[in-house]
Amino acid sequence: MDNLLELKNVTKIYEGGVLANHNISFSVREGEIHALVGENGAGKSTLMKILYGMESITSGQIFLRGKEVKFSSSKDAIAHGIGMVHQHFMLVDSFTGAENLMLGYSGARFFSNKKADIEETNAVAKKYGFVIDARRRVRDMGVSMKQKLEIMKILYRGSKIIILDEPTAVLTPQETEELFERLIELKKSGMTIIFISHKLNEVKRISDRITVLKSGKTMGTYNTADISEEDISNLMVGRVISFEYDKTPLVSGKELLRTEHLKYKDMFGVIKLNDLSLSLHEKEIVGIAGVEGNGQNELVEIITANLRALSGKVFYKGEDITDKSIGDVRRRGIASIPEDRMFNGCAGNMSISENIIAADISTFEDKNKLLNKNRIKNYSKELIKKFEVKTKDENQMIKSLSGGNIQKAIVAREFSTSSDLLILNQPTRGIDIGSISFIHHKILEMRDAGKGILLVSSDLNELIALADRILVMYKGRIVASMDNKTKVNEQELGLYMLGIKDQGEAV
Amino acid sequence: MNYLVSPNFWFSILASTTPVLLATLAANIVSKAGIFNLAIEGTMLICALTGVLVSAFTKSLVLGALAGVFIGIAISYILGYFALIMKGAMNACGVAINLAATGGTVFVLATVTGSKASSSSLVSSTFPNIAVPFIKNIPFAGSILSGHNIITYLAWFFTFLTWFLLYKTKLGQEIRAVGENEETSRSAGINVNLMKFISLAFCGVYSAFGGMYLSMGSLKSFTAGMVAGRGYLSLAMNSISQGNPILGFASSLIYGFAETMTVYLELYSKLNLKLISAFPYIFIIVVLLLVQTIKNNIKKNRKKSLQN
Ligand SMILES: Nc1ncnc2c1ncn2[C@@H]1O[C@H](COP(=O)(O)OP(=O)(O)OP(=O)(O)O)[C@@H](O)[C@H]1O
Ligand SMILES: [Mg+2]
Repeated sequence: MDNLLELKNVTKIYEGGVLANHNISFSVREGEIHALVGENGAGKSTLMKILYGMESITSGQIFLRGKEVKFSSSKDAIAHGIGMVHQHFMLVDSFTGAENLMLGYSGARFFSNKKADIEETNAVAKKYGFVIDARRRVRDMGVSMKQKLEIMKILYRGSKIIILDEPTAVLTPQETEELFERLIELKKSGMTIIFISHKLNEVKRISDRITVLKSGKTMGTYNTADISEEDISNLMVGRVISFEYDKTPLVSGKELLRTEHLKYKDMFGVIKLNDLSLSLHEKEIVGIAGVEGNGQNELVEIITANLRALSGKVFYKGEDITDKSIGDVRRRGIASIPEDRMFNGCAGNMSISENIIAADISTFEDKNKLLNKNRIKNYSKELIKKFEVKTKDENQMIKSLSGGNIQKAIVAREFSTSSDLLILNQPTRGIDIGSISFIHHKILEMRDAGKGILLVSSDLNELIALADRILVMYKGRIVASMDNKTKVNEQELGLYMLGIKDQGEAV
Repeated sequence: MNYLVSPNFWFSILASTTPVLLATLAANIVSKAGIFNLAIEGTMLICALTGVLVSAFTKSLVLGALAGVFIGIAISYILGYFALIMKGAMNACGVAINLAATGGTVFVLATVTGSKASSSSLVSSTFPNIAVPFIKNIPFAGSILSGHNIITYLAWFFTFLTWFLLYKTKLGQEIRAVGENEETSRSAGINVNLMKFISLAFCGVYSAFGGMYLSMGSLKSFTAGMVAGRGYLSLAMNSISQGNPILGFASSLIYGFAETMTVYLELYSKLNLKLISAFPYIFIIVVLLLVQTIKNNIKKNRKKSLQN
C-alpha cells in the first residue's frame, strides 16, 4: 500500500513558547485505520490540528499523495479531502442540526431553505446509517447525537481522510460499538481514518497501525497485530498500568446524602427521573451505572442544584437542600465534577490559577477583603504539582491546556476543598491511562479520608474497580443495587443496564 | 391629551425613530458577528458632517450621500483594522473614534465655515420627502405613513434587508456562526475576519445614513454634537432586541414614541420640564420591565405545559 499522507519533521511551538510537537514524522497508508495514542499533552490534538489547517506549522512538511501541501486554513484542508472531528465539539449551539451540517459548506445555496436543508440532512443521515434529529438545536442534543452530527459534517463534505480526536471519550460502550461498525464500513468504502483514543482495548480492536507519541515526539509506528496493550502502555508512560487496587475494607459511616422520590421530565416531556430514591454514607463510593441518557445527568444536576426536580427531596446531612442555590449547596460541602468540562467545568478564557481558586475564593482574601496574590500563586503551584497538571505555569489560559490536563486541573480544584461529599460525573473521561490510575488513587484516598463519593461513569471497569456499591439506572429508575465487595459481574451489569433484568421493588 | 389621536403625533414618532433605528441596525449586524462597536456614535457624527460639506461644495446630493457612506465604511474599517487585524482592544478603539469625532467635527466645521456651532452658513442639499402614491390617500394612516424623508423609507427597507440577510441567507448564517462560536466557524472553513468585515461594511452604511438623516433630513444643517447619544442608545436597543433587526425596529419605535411624547409634553403640559426630559428613559425602563415579565411568564407556562 502507498503512503497517502506523510508528515516530515513536524515541529510546533505555540505562541506562549510551549513545544507541543518536536520533529514528528509518520505516514498514513490509504484505506487504513491509523491510531494515534499518547499521554495527555503528548501533542496528538496539536498534530491533527496542523494537519487540518487550524494551527500553523512551525517547521516541517506535509505530503499528500507525494505532493507537498501547505494549509493556511481549514478551508484548504477540507478542499484536499481532509475532515476532522475535534476533541471538543465544534458546533454552533443555537443552530439546528441541519444548519450546523450546512455551515460553511461551499455547495450550499445563497438563500437558505430550511426545508431543503432538513431533507438533505435526513438523506445524509440515512445514507450513512445515523439517527439524528435535524430540527433539534444543538444545545438540546445529547453528546452522542452531537458526535454523529460532527461525523456527518465531514462525510458530507466528501472527506477521504477522516481525523477523529477522541471520538469515543463521550460515548457509552454500546455507542462506541455502533461507531466502530460505521468506521469499519467507511474503511471498506475506501476512506482513511486517523483515530485518537486513550482506551487501548479500542485501539487494539479497530486500528491497523499505531503511532505512539510521548512528550511531543514519536515513539514509532507499529502494526497493531504485533504489539500488545502492555507494550503500548509501556511506550506511552514508561510503565505498565493496572486497574487493580488494594481497597481497604471500610465500614461506612453516617448518612451524607439522601434523595427521596425524585421526579424529572425534560423539555421534550421525556421522563428522566422516575421516583428515584438513594442514600450515600461517609467512607463509601456509590457507583451509578447505566446507558447514557437514563437520568444519570439529571440526578447529578439536581443534587448539585443545577436543575430543579419536579417533585421529591434531596437531603444532605439530614438537611433539606432541595431548593437551595448552587452556591448554598457547595458551601454546605458538596463538591462536583461535571460531565462537560468545557461547558460548566471551567472558565475557558481564565487562567488555571483563577479556575483553581474559584471553588472557594473567600479563603484567599486577606483581612482587607482583597485577594492575596501570593497565597493564590502558592496554592495553585502546589495543586498543579500534586495533581500533575502539565502546563507552562499557573497563569496559562486553561483552554490552552490539553483536554486531559484541563480535567486534571478541575479534579485538583474539587478534591482540594473541605467538602465531605464528592459528586463525580465521568471524572476520567478523555484522560490517559497513567492519569486515570492517578485519579483513581485520589478517589480512593478521599474515601479513606472519610468522604462520601457518588461516581457516575460509563466505564464499567472503573465502577467495578472503585465502587463499594453499584446502582444501575434504567429509564430514570434504579433497577439494581449491587454490593461490589466481591467484584460484580460485568455481564450481569449489562443486563440490568439494558433493562433486560430488573430487581423491581427490592431496591 | 387629544394630540394622541392626531396623525401628526404618530408621524413624528416614525420620524424620530429613524436615526435610532439606523443606529440599532448597525449595532445589530455587527453584534451578530461578535463585534461590540462603540464607535457608531462617532461614525454617525462624522458622516453627518461629511454629507453636509460634500453636498454643499459639489452642489450634489448624490455625491454628498456617497461621500457620507464611503466615510462611514472607512471608519468602520479603521475600527476593524485596529481591533481585528492588529488585535487591539476593541472598546478602546471605539472610544478613540468617538473622541476624535467629537473634536474633529468641530475643528473641521470651524475651519470651513468659521462657526463652531453649525453649518447654517453653507447651502447644503437635503434628502427629499416622499409622498407615497396610493398610501397617501388612505385617511389617517396615509398622513402617518406618507410624506416621510426618503431615508426613513430606506431605514425600513434596511430593517427587512438585515433580517433577510441574517436569517435567510447562507452569508447571514455564517455571520451569526462567527459571532456565536469563532473556533467552530474556523473549523468549518469560514473566513472569520471576512465575515466580520462584511458586517462592518453594513454597519458603516447604516451609521452613515443615520448621521445624514440628522443633518440632511430632519434638520437642514450640521450642528456640533447633533447625534446626542443616539449611537450609544443603539447599543442598548441592540441588547434589548438581541441582535434581531425586527425586534430592533420595535425597540426603536418605543424610543421614538418616548421622544415624541417628550416634545408634546413640553408643549402641552404644565409638568416640570426637568421631569419631562427624564420621560423617555423612565418610559423605556417601564416597557422593558413589562416585556421581561411577559417573556418570563410565557417561558414558565411553556415549561409547565411540557412537564404535565
Ligand atoms: N492554544 C495553545 N496555546 C498554548 N499551548 C497549547 C495550546 N494548545 C495546546 N497547548 C499545549 O500543547 C501541548 C500538547 O497539547 P495537545 O492538546 O496536542 O495534547 P493531546 O495529546 O491532545 O492531549 P489530550 O490527550 O489530553 O487531549 C500541551 O502541553 C498543551 O498545554
Ligand atoms: Mg487532545
